[in-house]
Amino acid sequence: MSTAAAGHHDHDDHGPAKGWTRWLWTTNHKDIGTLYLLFSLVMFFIGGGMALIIRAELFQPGLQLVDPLFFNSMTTMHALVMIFGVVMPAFVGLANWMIPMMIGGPDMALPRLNNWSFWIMPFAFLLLLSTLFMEGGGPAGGWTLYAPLSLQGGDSFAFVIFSIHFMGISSVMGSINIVATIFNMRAPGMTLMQMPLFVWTWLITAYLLIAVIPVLAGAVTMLLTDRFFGTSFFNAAGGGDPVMYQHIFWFFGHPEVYILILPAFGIISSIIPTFARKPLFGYASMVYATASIAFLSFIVWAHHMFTVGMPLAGEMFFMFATMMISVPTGVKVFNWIATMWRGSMTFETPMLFAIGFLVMFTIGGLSGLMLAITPADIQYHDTYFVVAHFHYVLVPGAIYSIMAATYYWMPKWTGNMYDEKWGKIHFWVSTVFLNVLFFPMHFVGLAGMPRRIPDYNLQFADWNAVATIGAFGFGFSQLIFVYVIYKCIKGGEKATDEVWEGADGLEWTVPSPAPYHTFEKPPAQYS
Amino acid sequence: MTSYDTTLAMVSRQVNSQTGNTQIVVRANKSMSWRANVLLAASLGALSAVFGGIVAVEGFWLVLPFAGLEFLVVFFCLSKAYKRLGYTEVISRVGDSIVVESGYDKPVASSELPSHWTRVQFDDPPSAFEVGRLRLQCSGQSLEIGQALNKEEKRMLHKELLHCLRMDQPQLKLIS
Repeated sequence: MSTAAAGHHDHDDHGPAKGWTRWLWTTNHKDIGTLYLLFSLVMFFIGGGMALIIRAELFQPGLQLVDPLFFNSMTTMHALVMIFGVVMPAFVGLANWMIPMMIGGPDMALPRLNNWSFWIMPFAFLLLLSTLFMEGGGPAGGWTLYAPLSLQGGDSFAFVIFSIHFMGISSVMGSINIVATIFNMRAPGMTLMQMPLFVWTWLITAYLLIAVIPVLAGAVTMLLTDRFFGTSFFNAAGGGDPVMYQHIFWFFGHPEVYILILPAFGIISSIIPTFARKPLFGYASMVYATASIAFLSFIVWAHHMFTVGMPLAGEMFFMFATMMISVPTGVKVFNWIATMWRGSMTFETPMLFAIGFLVMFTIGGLSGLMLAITPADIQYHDTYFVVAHFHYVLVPGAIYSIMAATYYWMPKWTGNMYDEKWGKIHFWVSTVFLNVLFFPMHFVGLAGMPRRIPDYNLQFADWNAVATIGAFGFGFSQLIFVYVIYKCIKGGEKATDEVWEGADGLEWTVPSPAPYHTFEKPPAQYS
Repeated sequence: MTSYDTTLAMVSRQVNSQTGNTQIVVRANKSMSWRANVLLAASLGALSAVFGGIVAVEGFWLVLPFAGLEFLVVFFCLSKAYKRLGYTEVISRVGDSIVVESGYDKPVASSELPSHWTRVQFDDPPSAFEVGRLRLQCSGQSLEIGQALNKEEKRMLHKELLHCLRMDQPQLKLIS
């Protein structure tokens, strides 16, 4: 026999390895998806703990528990952890688990890269969190790291920059993998316009991430050289321009906001048709709306900085461009409602979270529209109204969609149904406390309470006390979520392959739990 | 539910128009052209270059190296993924032999096995967690084929190979 063909698979064909090394060396998309999701859950409690420290300090006016520098570190770290350590990894985890199954691919296109993408993350966050124990404390200038304030911190600043670089590398590698997978590994016959919305939204999200991460990398590297190597990119004393940092940062930062919410749109677009037992209303318009939002995200960055002073024409442009985002977003909300209209609806936990998303994300969207109005924004800027706005977008928006996705796909992952009663309790307790937590922030914000302060005027005391009660209620109600996940992994009623009566898509054609490597029934031709 | 045709495009039986021999072509699924991949990388590169260029003109040049580096990584990864999915195996009957050729753009490895002494073995595992291995065996040597396929596709290829070998060996049965 002459030369044998060289095999070239990145993963073992004989199921998962035994022991802990399975998780260290795995290149299997489902294992890596699980790792991402567990990492995200752990970081959710770390970031949540920081939020509780913030809210405990704000329970009453005056300095109560922590010194102001540590308070500022907590607000900064809470944001960095929640954005880069919770929401993004959770969406990447869901993408890892679901995209190959939804498009009929055997795995991600670049499995080893996938392994590296994940394992960079724990080191990045170890580096970030370790700064809290260094001389001078952790970063305390806000998650935007505005110069020159951020340059006045301790030497731990270098660690912060390196950890952000690692997070960026991880995000870019994950995004490249997702793009390569979606482009090249779809089931035969599955055209782009036949892909599930979750896959579409992730394709656009990955595109945005690849486009903007170099901007963040460049911006924070210039901060690093300003701080340690004597350059003056953002140092006015040396001829630099601190406002330019804000422009560069927000050119990354605003698409980042959509990176945090577009996959959520995909999840909700999967869940609502299932429990309304109707096909998604306006599939093509959903795709075009997502693409429009992505495009607009590149031309609205300066609405975060109306107060720095810019020409009137610039303010007008950024105001109207921002308002235009409400059109494709409105299309989406309309389509979700139209999908439910006269549907044969049932209200299992994923659907409850999806409806919660729809109602409360819309509240966040409307307050965003208020913030887009330049003269009004000059009043709202840096007040708790802004905090209320983005928390309504990110908590009942991004976080609720992740919870909805977990309840929706968990039976497929584990092979067991979760406890429906406790799932519903989790939803209702979370929703009540979430509104107790964030809704009063609108009031204190409109009354003029500034954000990022450990102390405040007596007039804001009552609503701050209410918000703190809501924070602790919401925080502890997440233990129910952990209990439901744990119980589902351990056992429970066996899930069918289809799991949900109205579910549609390739992922529901594989057995529950999903096979380690590939489809039991091949999705050879898509029609 | 979405309907699925079970015709498997990853394993196809063809007749070579030049030799008239029957051949089985095994290839991984590849859903986008190279041109589309290049366009994707180019659009990302252009976007990064435009913004990086604008801020570089203003003096903030450190965005450009990251954008350039990222573009190279994107291009490398897309080309690697595309090339990997282009792996093809062609199994042909040529006279009394089974010829297995494999490669990406052109055959880079070739094996020739006497068809009468060749057996096909598929350890079709009952577990949903395993896809199994498909091998051609002859005189104590083993050649694994169809590594890019999933379990159902391997079953299909197994049947095709049995059919192909049965022309010489009507007594042939599955070894495993």
